[in-house]
Amino acid sequence: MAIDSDAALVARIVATDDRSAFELLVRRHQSPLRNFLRRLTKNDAALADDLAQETFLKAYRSMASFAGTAKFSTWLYRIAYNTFLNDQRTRFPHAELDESQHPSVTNEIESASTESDLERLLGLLPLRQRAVFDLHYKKGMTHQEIAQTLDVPLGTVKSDLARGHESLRKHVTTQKRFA
Amino acid sequence: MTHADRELDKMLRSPEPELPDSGFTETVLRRLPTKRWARTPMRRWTLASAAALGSLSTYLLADPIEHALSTYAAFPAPVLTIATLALLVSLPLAWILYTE
Repeated sequence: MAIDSDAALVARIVATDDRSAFELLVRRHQSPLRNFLRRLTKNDAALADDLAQETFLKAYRSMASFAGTAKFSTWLYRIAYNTFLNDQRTRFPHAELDESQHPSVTNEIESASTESDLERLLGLLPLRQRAVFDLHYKKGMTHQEIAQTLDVPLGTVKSDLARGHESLRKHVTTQKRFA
Repeated sequence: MTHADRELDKMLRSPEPELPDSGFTETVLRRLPTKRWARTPMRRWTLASAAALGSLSTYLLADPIEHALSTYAAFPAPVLTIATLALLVSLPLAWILYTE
């Protein structure tokens, strides 16, 4: 049996409001999208699932505006990232949300165990770098697709990956020393 | 490539866990707005009813209204008659637009 592509399912939703096509899209993308949002929310599963639901509802409402020039997943992750940023602005209206800001990492390094704590390691990265790493390594997106998803220049994606690598390498080396 | 690099690369490239759906999709589907086709028959019937009501009103009420208005109103009777009938038809249409 042929598997419907994302584009074919989107076409059915736009043409006839086909709910079974939308259901297929949700089932297909729910796990990677929820994993992505869990990473952004630093493993707050409940919040990540709420944001994932909101993302799918927004995608459904604006399905007709999906141009099809990019991949559906790129478009979906862009909605998810913006939904996450909006949520953060609502929760912390007076906080300056700097996507490239480093969180405080002082004691985390010493307590992170090397192999199993990828999540904790990624949690040490600034927000946008975390998103870039997830989209690149876990979702297999190209640099160009990541730039489209996060709405940043291509150079920013490359430098985020380079800086993130440098940062993570230091953490792993430090952990080795403490082990 | 150092040992730390290899270790890091291995961690980053490890496949992420598949999260079980556990009712997630059903929750999303339940929160979707009413289906477009479900709204269409309602709209069709309302439009047809408004048109029928307008026609019936014109047929039954045009003469009496015109007569009454020509007796009491200072404005020309046909203008007021048309305005009254237009109001009767436009109210249901305004309701449709409002609910959409």
